[in-house]
Amino acid sequence: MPIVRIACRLVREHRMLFAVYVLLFSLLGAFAAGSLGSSATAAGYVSARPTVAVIDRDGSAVSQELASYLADTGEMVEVDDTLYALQKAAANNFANYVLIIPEGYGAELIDAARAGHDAPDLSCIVSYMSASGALVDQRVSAWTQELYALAAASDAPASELVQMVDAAQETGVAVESVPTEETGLPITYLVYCQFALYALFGGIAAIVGTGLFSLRQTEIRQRIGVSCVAQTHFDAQVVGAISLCGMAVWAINACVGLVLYRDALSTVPPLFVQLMLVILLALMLVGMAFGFLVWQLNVRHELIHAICNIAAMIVAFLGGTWIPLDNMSEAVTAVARFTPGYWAVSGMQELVRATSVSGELIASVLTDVGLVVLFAATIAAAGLAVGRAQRAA
Amino acid sequence: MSAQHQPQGTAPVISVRQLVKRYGDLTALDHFDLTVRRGEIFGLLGPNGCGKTTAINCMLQLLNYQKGSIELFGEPMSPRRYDLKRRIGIVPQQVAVFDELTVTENIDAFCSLYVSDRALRRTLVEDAIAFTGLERFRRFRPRKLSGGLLRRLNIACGIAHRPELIFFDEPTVAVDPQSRNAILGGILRLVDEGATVVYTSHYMEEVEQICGRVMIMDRGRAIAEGTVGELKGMIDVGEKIVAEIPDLPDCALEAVRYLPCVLRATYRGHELHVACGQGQGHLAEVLGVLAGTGIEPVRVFSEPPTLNDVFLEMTGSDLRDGDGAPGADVRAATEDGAAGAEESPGLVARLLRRGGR
Repeated sequence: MPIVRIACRLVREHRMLFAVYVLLFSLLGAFAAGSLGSSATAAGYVSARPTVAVIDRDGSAVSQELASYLADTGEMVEVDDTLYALQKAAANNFANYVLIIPEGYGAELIDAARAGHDAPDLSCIVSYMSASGALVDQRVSAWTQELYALAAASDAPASELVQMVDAAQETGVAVESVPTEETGLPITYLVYCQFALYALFGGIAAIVGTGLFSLRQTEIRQRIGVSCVAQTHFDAQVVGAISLCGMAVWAINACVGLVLYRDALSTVPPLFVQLMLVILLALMLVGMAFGFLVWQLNVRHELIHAICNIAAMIVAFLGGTWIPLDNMSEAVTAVARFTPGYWAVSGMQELVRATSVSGELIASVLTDVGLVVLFAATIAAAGLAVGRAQRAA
Repeated sequence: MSAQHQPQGTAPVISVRQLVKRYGDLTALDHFDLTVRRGEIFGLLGPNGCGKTTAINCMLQLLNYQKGSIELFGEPMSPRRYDLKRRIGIVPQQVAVFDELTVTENIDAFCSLYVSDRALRRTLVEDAIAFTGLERFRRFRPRKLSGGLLRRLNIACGIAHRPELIFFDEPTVAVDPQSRNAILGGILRLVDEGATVVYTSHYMEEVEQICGRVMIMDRGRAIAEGTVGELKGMIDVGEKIVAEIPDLPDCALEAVRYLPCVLRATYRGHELHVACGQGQGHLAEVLGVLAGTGIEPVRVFSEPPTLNDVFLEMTGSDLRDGDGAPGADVRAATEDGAAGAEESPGLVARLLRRGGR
């Protein structure tokens, strides 16, 4: 196996690539997963309190109660009722939300509701620096709509109506999360494995393309061509060397993941973890095939890294590594189906959503794995075609 | 180191018959014949694109060919004759080594393509390192080596498995005289140890120095073959005379040209250059004519024709880079600097003609 031995020596000289592409991206995945934090509970939840200012030009019971309601939901700040002060408050983010209640607003609202007319407008300034002002505005809309509805249905005076609105605002829905007895893979491990997509696809391809680059050089191929190594043996040994590279990257990535998440993984069925490793193994095959294709292109190192990184970023993006695919348009999701990352992540997510081991789950995950392997076979076939074309040329 | 290596036996190590290699409409090898006998250093000469590298690549089965037969060590050569390939070594024109590996690792890597036994390989690698004088550079990577050392590493990689037949394709391109001497000395030692060498080069003095027999190729055919002496006997020029004369009248130049033995006579830069035909006593005749016109040269010297003269007379002095075969010769020549010839052919042509004739 002289070619395998030479290839291993060559790859060994590029060991820094393992540190950059495999360890770095594995740890990046771990950091990304760590940023999710520990599982949150309703008990520890504290809602944000935006800064709110009210310019009450009305002074009615409605306007005073609305101001009082806002004081309960946010931190009240004082803003003068001048154009300069309002502009300054908006520009400096002094207040996340400034509500301007025009003169006669309370009476006009009640009259409009009872007459069936449109409600009068309120003026407001919403800070562009955070979304909290917009949320306060939604609360104000809800409060005024509720008052409008009550006024339309009742002849009660405004002072009573606003009390009824306040009472309605205080009611809520109690939510409690009930954990199931058996759960799928932890979400942190999913994030880690999604980031592994980059290392397994782009990393393996870059290591193979760069490490075995010298074996493609014309003069060296000539030397090998006149030696006792047959062309078929050469090809087979190159595939063997690429397999070793792929296995090394997969093993490093898998081991780092298992070590980092050993506690979380100890509570889930071992089959889930095994299936996840099989998905990563399928991704490794895609990386190997892509590395083989890049190697056959016989381009210089800089171009190899550019191709591998761009391709890995596209595959990782369309696999939902950076942004969940649920947040993307249907067009992006449709395109993503033509990439291996989509099917790999699809299988991973099934393992996260799963609550118990079932034949259906295994079949579904293995179908996703099969699709990923098909991508690997297609890319490898393209690599063979490129190699044959170059040899013929 | 001037001992020309004559064949020790008659058994041909290489026997090529009527080889035809075409690239589309272009014929790179046109019924090419070659016989190299065991133990000799055979020089393969020719202008760029004449088919030297194509011929070697066909013999090594790196290229297929349309017609003809190739026998190595008395047996038909084919791409699957690994038993024969095991006995062959190649030192390509371009340095073909792994940039990532050290000197020792490089030699071991190429040796491993032929020898699987690790212990034996270790001995062979050490021998190759000692043979090429790379002992102090074992752990060096190629990018740290000078041009001459790189060439020596290139040779070590080609000979480590102790081949019986070695192809040297312009192994001394771009190396200093000391390294060139070391390389040529090494080739002579290889032959002394029993190897047979096919050597291509554009440096005629090297070929004259080490090759027992020489073939001159042009346009895919062998146009002359023999020892250096035999080749010199094939051209018209038998003696070259140069006389330094401060001022030579036209009548004296015409008188020299009128001599029957004189083929050409030119006067430039206070020097009279006279090319005489085969035979003896030409110097006395030329000096006699000059004395007859009252001219006494400041300095005179005479020399037989060189292989360079033979080569240029047989192949002509026109540039060839433009009309070569699309083989490695053309590519190699372009990489070596003939690209300049394409950029400014007039200038290079003038320089070559002044220097060459």
